[in-house]
Amino acid sequence: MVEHLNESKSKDNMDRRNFLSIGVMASSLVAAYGFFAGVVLRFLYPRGRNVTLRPMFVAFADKIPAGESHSFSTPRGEQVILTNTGQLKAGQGHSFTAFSSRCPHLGCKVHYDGEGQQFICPCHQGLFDRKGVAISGPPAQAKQRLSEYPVELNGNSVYVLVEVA
Amino acid sequence: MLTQAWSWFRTRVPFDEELLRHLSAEPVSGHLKRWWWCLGGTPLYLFMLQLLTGIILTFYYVPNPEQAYESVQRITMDLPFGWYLRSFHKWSSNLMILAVVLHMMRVFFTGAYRAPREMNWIIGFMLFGITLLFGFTGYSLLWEQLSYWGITVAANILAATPLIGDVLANFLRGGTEVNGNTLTRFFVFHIGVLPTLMIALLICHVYLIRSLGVSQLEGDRPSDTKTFPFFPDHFLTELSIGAFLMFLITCLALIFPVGMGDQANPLITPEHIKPEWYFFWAFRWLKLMTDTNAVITQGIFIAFIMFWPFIDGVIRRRWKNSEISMFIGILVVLYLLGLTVWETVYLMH
Amino acid sequence: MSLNAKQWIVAILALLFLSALLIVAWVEGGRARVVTHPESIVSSQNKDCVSCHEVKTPGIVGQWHESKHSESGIGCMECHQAEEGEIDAFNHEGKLIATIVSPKDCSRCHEREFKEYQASHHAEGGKILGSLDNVLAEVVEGHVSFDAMGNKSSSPAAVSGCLQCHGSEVKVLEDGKLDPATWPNTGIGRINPDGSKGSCSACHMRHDFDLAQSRMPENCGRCHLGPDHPQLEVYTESKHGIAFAANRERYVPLMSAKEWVPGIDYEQGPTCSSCHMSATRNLPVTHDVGARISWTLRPPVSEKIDAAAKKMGKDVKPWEDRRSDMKDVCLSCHSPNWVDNWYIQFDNLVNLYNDKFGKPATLLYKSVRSKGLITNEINFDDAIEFTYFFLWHHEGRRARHGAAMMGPDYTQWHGMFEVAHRFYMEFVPELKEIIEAGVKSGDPKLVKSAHEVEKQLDEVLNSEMHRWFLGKMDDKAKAARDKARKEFKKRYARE
Repeated sequence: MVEHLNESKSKDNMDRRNFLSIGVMASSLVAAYGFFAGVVLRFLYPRGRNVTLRPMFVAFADKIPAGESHSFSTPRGEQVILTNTGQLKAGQGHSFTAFSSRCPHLGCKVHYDGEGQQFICPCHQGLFDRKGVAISGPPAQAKQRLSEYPVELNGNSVYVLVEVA
Repeated sequence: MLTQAWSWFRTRVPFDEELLRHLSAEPVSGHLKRWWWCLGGTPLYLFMLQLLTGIILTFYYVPNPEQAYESVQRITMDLPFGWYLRSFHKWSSNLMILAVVLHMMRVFFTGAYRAPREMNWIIGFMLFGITLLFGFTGYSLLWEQLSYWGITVAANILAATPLIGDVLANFLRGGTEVNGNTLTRFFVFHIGVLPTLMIALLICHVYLIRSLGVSQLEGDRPSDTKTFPFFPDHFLTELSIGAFLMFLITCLALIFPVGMGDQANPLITPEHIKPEWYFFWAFRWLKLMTDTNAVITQGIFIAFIMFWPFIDGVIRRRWKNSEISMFIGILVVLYLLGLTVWETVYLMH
Repeated sequence: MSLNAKQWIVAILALLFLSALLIVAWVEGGRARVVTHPESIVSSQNKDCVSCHEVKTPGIVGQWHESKHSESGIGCMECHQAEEGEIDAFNHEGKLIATIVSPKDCSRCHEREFKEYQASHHAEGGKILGSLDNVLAEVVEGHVSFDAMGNKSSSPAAVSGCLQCHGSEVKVLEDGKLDPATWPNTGIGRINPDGSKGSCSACHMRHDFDLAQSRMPENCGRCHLGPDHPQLEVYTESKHGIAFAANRERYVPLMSAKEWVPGIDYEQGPTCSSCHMSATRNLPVTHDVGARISWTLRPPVSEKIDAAAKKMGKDVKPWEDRRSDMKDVCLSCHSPNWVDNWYIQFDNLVNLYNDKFGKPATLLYKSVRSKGLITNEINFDDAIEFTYFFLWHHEGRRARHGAAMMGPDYTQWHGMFEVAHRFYMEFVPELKEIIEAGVKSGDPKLVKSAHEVEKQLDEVLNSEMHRWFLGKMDDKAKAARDKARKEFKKRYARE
């Protein structure tokens, strides 16, 4: 069909001069496309832990009597349980605690038992004390605790410090 | 060690090395050195870029009416390099459409559609249609005002088709109204149906090119009749085109980053609804006559272009050696260009 | 083209691509990460409100997003939630809310401000409902009627005029809606359905509650302006107002901050709140706007602000303490001599007004009324009633306010000059007409009263400050004036 003509220079593929130009070409292609790949990965990778905590108003203190608790979710969707333990926290000037209601064992939702002053996880009967430390059940065996959120009391208003997206 | 690994691989994945070498080293016709002929490979490369950037964007895009717009905003404004990747995707789509149009023009004016390549022309034309639909569905996913009302208008036009109009419109909308159903199916079209069709047809398209061979040009350059090896010569050409496109698109993304219009509001119709630039021709055409007439005439027009090789065959048998086809081609280009320019200028007032 | 050349071209293009990417990275790095204000927190109980209202009433939601409340997740329900049994509570999309957020509602978090406000004169703004001004609005300018059950209709003059500043008494109709004669209204002394007084949003505009807005002179100037108490105009004329105007652009972005202490956060140009309310280096902020006021410039005859309360045996902050608090603000920028001298000037003007015009005019006016020389039961049906009203309520107040806030033009031309003119050219002639009418009446009681009033008028006009009017200026004073006139001519007249 068509004549097959060898370009003279194609024999030079292995020349040192060619080697330089191939080398430069290859490295600039790798650099450029590699950088592009880096851009893509940066876009895909979830945000670093640039955590800003902000106080979020949750409830009026007088609406949560001692032994009671109030559940709410943070802007990031975390489920938190605010409890009036009835006992002043050392150095805090109030008796409120805020813990993630997500059990560290397998993620079930814990609730507060005012009488026993503990948090109960219904799934495997994990128990946590007032301070959120696991005292019984699978979480205790794994020496786990409920994650805590700082609480501020401003007059009658209870604020919890949460991560804002 | 390496040879052991290689033979391990070869036992499990058999292929004919000789055939592969023959295929990749196949001589490329000389005239393909001309840049005009790179307009086929260009949209192919851009399509692959679209696949890549499209998949990347889908990591964060949410296809329901409540969250679609917000998710695109998030990509554009919050996520690192989101603005760049989104602008890249948008500009790459514009360039792809432009490249396909220019490629069609090149194929037309070099008569490369003629026997035995008529089928390839039809497949190519279908690829063009899919490319336009990619643009339309992709743009609709933003759920901006222009997305929502663009779909509304498009569905109304479809509904003007005789006999099957309502069926078509309802199929487009996923019902009688533009709502969450519509967005879902546009999303499925954009990331599922159209890519599948595109790839399938591309395989046919490339296969036909390779099996039929690139058509010979009745050129007057001496180099036109010679050939040159695909690898490394033509491969390098492809590489340079690729690098150039990456550079061009990045510059466009930097200088003309893509923004967002108003969020879709079914209660408020914006004063000027307009489709993307590549539909301006159809939009202006529509304004010149009734919907039904427009649908019918456009249908005829599209069929005319799609089956052009056969029409051209009839013409050439009837009027041998004439350049009528050329003139028809020029007329069509001018016509479409004229409509596009008209619509562009109209909006500037 | 040779392969070599091609390879170099690819390399160059790739490097161009890379450079463009570096610019992309540079742009990305430089993207404004500075948040103008932190993102709002929409808590779960407010989500529904926001998602509907940001479409239906986007202004309100937009304002809220600008507020400090939204940064802490304090949103719609925290303020608008109502309890079962509250008279203005109603069910809205499944939530029990009230339209009006009263100072009592705000006090859930802002207790101190609430207490100070309720104790202040601002909260008493609704008192106007029984005053002479009320007669003007309901009888003289407008009209009210009474239905079978004794309910009073409203005068539009009051509803859209007086009460918009002073505050209405909000009525909840049978269907739970608010009576249009009483709402909308954010008057400073509004009487709310829950019994609390006033409206915090009279000064702290909802829903962004911007501190800078509340500190702007225009804020107080919504009510504290006009011919009868032109505080805004006086302030604007004053050096304080000029200083603020000159530096306003620089100050405004800073005034949203909690602290705006004269001498520390700003060095000149106080606004209304600076002196009357805001914290100084030594004083905390107060929402009791009377806490630093020594004179009351409101009545026909000014007196010290604690005089009325003391007479009733109430124990209130003495005027001396209030003045010393106000001086504390002045001393942020001014020297003690400056401040003390100024207060002497101020006291002197008030006393001048009181002694020369306020007291005599009041004496004579009360006299003609009580003695029946004009209709005592009907207000504002005699010309002299308007004249007297203008004298003390309008120009008399203007003069006093002008002196109080350093607006000399208001002290003089809008003030004392017009007081004098009113007194001599209208009040005195009208009195003389009334006296004459009384004498000619034929009724012995009225004739007697007319002579009594005539005697009183004579006494006033013959007193030291007024006898110039009768040509009776004493010789020493006349000579002194003559000498001064000649000196003046020598200095300024053309040769």
